[in-house]
Amino acid sequence: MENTEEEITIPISEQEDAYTALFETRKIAAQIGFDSATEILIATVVSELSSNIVRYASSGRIVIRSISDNGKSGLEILAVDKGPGIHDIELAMTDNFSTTKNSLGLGLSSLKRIMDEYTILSLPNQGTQIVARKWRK
Amino acid sequence: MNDIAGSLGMNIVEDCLILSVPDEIDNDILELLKNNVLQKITANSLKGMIIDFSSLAILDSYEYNEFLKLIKMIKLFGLSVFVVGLQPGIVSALIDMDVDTDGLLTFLNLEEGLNAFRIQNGKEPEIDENNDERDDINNDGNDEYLTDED
Repeated sequence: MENTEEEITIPISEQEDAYTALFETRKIAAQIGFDSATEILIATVVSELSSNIVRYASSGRIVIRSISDNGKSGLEILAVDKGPGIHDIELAMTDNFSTTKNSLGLGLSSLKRIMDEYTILSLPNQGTQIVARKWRK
Repeated sequence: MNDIAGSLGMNIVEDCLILSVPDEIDNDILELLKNNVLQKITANSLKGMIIDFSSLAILDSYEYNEFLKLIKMIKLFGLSVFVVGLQPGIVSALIDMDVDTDGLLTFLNLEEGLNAFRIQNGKEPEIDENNDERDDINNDGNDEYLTDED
């Protein structure tokens, strides 16, 4: 089978869209060959990211794509919104941040723990762009 | 959204409210769950509650925290809460998210949770004779099982 790169964009503006994102993520993760436990972990990250978009930015998009590098295959998540942005990314990355303040936090710490690579670009009042990758071990 | 209320699986068994969490949850469902559970608890003299997560595949940190709030509320009513049926993927994710799981009474499945509820309320746990996994516990060994549980 030839290596066809899968990519799907899911516009996110309500909770229903988050379900679609979860469904598509699990489908692509399974195609890439992640085991079901990892598939669930990746889907949990997508759930966090899409829920954050619905809760804080009201609309945005999630892009899921299969990626490859030197024979390694993996999955990339891109989450983009034009919301309020994350004012203190370092603080937001710490565990339990969102339990004390009603903001982003736990979702981002799961990003750090579950995914292999991630970058977060955020500008106050302009939006947030998060890219995260998970490689098949 | 009316059909959501109908699909909320709630049963009362031996003064224990058993909530079966649906396979998909969102803010509306969580809110509805909370209200329905609190209503049920105040309207019936219950002794405990079991929350069965076995249908749920994915639980993110926000949803988990909502359930924690619900559990705290139920505890304030004086009821013990038994969490059962967490799927392996959810368990790994909860550990990766490093959320607070202290103080949660968790059991592998509904049967184990119900047995724990029974033991707490001074009732004999029911041993299912047809359950092959329980071959090592014969019906005379109930006392042994009780001490193991403690």
